[in-house]
Amino acid sequence: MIMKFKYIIFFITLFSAFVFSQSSSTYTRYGIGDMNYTYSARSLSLGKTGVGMLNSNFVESLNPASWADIKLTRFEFSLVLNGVRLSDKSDSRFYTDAEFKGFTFAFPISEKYGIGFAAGLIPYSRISYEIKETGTSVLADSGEYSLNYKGSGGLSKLFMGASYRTPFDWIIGASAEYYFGRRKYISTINFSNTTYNSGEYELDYRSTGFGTTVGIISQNFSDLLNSETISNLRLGVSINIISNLSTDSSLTINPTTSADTVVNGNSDMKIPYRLITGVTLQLSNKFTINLDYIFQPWSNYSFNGIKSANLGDVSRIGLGFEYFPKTEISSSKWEQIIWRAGLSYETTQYVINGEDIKQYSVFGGFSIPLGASNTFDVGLQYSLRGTTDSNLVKENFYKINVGLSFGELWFLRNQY
Amino acid sequence: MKFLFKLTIILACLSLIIISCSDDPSSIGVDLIGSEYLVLNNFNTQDDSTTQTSYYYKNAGSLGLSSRIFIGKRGDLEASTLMRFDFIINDSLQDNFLDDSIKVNYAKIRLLPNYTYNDAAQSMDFTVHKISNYWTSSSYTIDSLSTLMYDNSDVISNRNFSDSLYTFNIDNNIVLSWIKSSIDTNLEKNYGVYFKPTAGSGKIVGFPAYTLYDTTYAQLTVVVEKPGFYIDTLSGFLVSDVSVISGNFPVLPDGEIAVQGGLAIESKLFFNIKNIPQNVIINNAQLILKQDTTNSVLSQSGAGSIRIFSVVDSTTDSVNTSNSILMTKQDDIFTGNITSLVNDWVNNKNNQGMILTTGTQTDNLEMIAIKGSNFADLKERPQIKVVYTSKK
Repeated sequence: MIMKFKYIIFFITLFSAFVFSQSSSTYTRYGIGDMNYTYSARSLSLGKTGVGMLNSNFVESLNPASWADIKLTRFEFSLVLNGVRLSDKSDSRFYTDAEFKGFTFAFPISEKYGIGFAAGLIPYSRISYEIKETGTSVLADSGEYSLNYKGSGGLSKLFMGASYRTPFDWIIGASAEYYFGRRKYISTINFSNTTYNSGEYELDYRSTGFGTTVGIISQNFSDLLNSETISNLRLGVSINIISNLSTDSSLTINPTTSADTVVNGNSDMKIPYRLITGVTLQLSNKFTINLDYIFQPWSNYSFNGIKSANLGDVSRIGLGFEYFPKTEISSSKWEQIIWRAGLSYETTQYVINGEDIKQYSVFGGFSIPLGASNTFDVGLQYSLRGTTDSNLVKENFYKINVGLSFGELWFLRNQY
Repeated sequence: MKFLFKLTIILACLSLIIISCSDDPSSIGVDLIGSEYLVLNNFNTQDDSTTQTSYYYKNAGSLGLSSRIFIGKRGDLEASTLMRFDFIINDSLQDNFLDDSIKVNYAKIRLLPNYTYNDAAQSMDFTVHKISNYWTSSSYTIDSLSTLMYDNSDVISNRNFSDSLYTFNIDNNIVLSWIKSSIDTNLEKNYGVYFKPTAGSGKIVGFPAYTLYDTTYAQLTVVVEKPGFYIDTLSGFLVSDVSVISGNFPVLPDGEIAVQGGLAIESKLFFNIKNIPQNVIINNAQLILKQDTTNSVLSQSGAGSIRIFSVVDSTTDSVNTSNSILMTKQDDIFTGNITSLVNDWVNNKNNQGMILTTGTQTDNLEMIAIKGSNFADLKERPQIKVVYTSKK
C-alpha cells in the first residue's frame, strides 16, 4: 500500500505541474461556470451517467447510495486534459489546459447492511477563460491599447457520507458537504503610450457554505420482467441541496501608481438544487446500460438577491454503456479491459442574447485492470456547445480524463 | 507497478504535447464578457459644461530654503538679503586678535551672479549695513523684515560689479569684531550684515545661496597682519543667508490669475468633475493653462515654469508637497500630467482643488499671468482633458 501512496503522490505531482495554462470558454463568465457532474474517468466515459448504479469497484459521486456495494477500501483520483476549439464568425482558436479533478476515499463498514463510507474533494464548478482584444483609441493621443479579460476559479466540494441498505433492498445514502471556492474576474487595459496609465479591475469572490446530497437506489426490479437477459434493473434518484453560500466580494482597481480596494462586501449566493434520476440495467452480466436525467433550475440562481438574466434551467439527458467482457482470473489483462461509451444532450444553464446554449456530447473510455482490484481508467469526451449565430461562440470540447482506482483489504477484524 | 510508471511518463509527455498546442488568447467571445467589458472614455472640461473657479493670492511662507539670494529693485519689487559669516581661528592666534596685536588690512566679499530679473542692461547697486539683532534664516518670512535692526551707515567700499562677478570691501573693524566674537562669545555678538538695494537700481540680481554641496556662494576673504611678523589670509565662512522680496500684489486684467516667485503669489484652481463616475481607471489627465504673455514678467533667461500641488485640506489650503507636478511649456501653453491628482479626486472623492506656484518658488521672481476660470473667452480658460476606463 505504501508503494501505491508513493505512486499517487508521484502522479499528482507530475500532472499538477501541467495545471498552468488557461482554456477558454467565455460562457463560464456567467453564474459559477461550468458544472462538474462527475469527476472520474469512468463516469465521464459513461456519459456522466450512473445515478442508479451500484459499484463495488468504483466510488461514484452522483449518488451516495451507490457506496453500498463497496467491498474494499478504495482510493481514486483523476486528472483531465481539456482542449477546446473556439469559433466565431471570423476566427477560430484552439486552447488546452490540465485540471486536477479531485480524489475520493471509500471503505465498507458492513456488507450485510450495505453500509459504505466515502469522502473526497472534488470540483463542483469551474470558470476558465481568457480573451485579448486590441484597438486604437480615437481619444487624444493614447495610441494602441489592449484589453485582456481573464476569469478563473470555481467551487469545490469536500464531502463525507455513507450508505445503508434497508430490509427491502432499497438503498439510501447521504453525504454532508462543505463548499468553498474563489472566483476571480480580471479586466486589464494596457497602452503602448507610456504616458497613459494601464490598469485593471479585479473582482474577487470567496464563497463558503454547506450542502448535502441525498440519494436512493431501488431494489432490483429485474425479476418483474421475467427476463433471463436482464439481470439487474434499478432506479436511482439523488438530490443535491446547497445552503446559501456566504460570499465575500471585493473590487480592486489597480492603476499603475497604486492599488485600491474600492468595494468590499458579503452577500449570499443561492445555488439551485440539482435533481438526478436514472435507470440502470445489466444485460447478460456483461453489459450495463444507464439512462440519466439531470435537472437544475439555474433560473433560481441569485447573488445578493439578484437573479441573472443569462442563466436558465439545466436539462440534461445522458445514456451510458459499459461492456465487461471477461471476469475470470484466468483471462488475460487485455481480455479484462472494460469498455464504455455514452451520449448526452443538454440544455446548459447559459442563456445568452435570449438563446439557450445547447451541448451535444459523445463519450468513450476504458479501464485497464492493474491487479485484482485496481484499474487504470481513461475517459474521452467530445462535445459541441453553442453556435456562431447571434454573436455567440461555438465550442468543440475535447477531454481526456485519466484516473486510477486502487482497492485494498483494510480493517480486518482479528478472529482470535 | 512498473507498467504504471511507464504509463504515467507516456501520459505526461502526451499532456505536454497537447498543452503546448494552445493558441494565444484572442478576441473570440469578447461579446460575451458582459459587465466585465472595459470602455475607454473621454472627458473634457470644455465639452462637459464643467464649472471651475480660480483666484490668486499672496502666501507668506518661509524664505530660508532658497538656493538663491536676491539683491536689487525692479519696479515696485525690492529684494534685500541678510548674511552672516563666521570664523574658526587657530588657538595660537586667538590672544593676538583679542589684544589687537593682529590687525585686519582689508576684507573682501565675492558674489557670483547667476540670475537676472529682468533687464540685464539696467544697473544695480546696494548698501550693506551691520545688523544689531538676532535673526535666523530657517524661520525668516516677509513679515520678519519689519523687526530687523541695523545701522544706517554703509559698511562697504571699492565696489566692482560686473555681469559675472560682484566684489567689494567690507569695513575692517566689523570683520575684526566678527573674528573676536568667534573667539570670545562674551564680546559683541555677530549678527551679520543686511544688503539693501539703492533706489536707483533697475534690476534684481540673484546669487547662489549657502549649500553644503556648492562653493559658489558668497566668499569672505580677510587679509590680516601682525606688524613686523607676518601677513596672512583668512577665510570667513558663510553660516546663514536669506533674501526678502517685498512688493505690491500684482494687479491683472479681469479673469486672470498669476503665480510669482519671491513674492509667493499663488493661484488656486478648482474643477467640478462630478461627471466622471467613481471607480474608474484614470488613464491620463492633462491640465492645460494659457499664459497671458503681455502681463507676464519673466527672468532674463527663464521661459517660466509652473508647479501644481494637490490641496489636501481646503480650509487651510495645505498641500501635498511630496507630490507636485511640473508643467511643461510650449509657446504660451502650459501642460501638466495630473493623472494621479484626478485619480484621487474621482476615486477617493477628495477633490479640494489644486494650488499653482512658479516652478521654483523661492529661487526666482518671475510673474506668470494665466487666463483664469472667469476669462472672457471660454476656450482660453484652464482646461482638463481626461481619458479614463470604466466597466460597461
